[in-house]
Amino acid sequence: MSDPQPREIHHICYAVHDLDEAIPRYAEALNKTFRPIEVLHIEHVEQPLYGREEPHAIDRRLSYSLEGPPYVELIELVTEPNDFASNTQAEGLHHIGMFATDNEAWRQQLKSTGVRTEMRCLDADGDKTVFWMTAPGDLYGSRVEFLDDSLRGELAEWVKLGRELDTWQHT
Amino acid sequence: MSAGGGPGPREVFHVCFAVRDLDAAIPRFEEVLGVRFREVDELHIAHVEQPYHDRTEPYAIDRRITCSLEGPPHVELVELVAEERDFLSASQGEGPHHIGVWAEENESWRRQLAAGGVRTEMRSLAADLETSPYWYTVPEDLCGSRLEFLDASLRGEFAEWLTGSRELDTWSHTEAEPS
Repeated sequence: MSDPQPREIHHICYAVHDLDEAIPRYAEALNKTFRPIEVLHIEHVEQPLYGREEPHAIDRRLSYSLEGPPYVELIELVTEPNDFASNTQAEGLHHIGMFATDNEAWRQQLKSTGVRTEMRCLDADGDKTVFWMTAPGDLYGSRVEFLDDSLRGELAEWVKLGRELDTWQHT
Repeated sequence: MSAGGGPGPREVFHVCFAVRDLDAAIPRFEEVLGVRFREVDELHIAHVEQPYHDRTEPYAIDRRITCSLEGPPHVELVELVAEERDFLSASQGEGPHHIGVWAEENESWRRQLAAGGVRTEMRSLAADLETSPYWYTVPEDLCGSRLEFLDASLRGEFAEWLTGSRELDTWSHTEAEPS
């Protein structure tokens, strides 16, 4: 197995209450252009820290900067309290996203050192870990999202060309 | 405003996380992020204003920080302080603190954002007490997020600081030896 450790920051994510209002504000302050808002459907998500161990579907409103990496991601907080992006948490810097060469191996490796999984997204077949987030309480209040390295091309085409992100969607 | 032009920022230089115990946090972040950090720096900043915290007269602060060797964007870790009226007060809790971006003309960029309602939380001053090597936005003016804008002329100094080959003396000038 190749070294699964992450090395580089792919994106920096901010959570906001109102995405439509936030985009022009961030575009101005960071001097960036954001792609159109997308409602991303994610078919299989587990959120073990919130008592939601069974895979369930979620929909998220988000936008990415065209400039990057590192890209700036803006996501809209949701009203569901048992969620990694619940609006019970404050707006602000939510997580950084990094690629891991072997994402599931990396998740297991960190788990053995006490880093729990806050959420995990599986592929459309429900087998492969596509991306996952660490529990903030296990890293000094900070949350890291690890994306499987195989997503590099798909994410790049999504940002630049508007291609759909279908790895984790039933199409 | 068109993206990428004018006096504003160009690229992200670092992402900063605030912690209570820097020495304890470094090995954990190294393990989880797969990066290595430079030696902890006891940074003396000779002149700082914190208008948002009602500290408008320049004064000196000392901070413990480190930065990943990998980057940009680098990962910066800073230690929180006990002082309540401070951009790094421990009362705000650990976690993501800010991102640092280069601005081509930092002071004009600060004024441009101020005109749009983005206030200054803190500002460092160079020896002339006029130019600002870096400054922070007030989080509540940008959907809870804090940005640090660094003057782009400091790129070289930062790069050398990361490798430990020089001190950040643009704002630590009180300790500089006369040549």
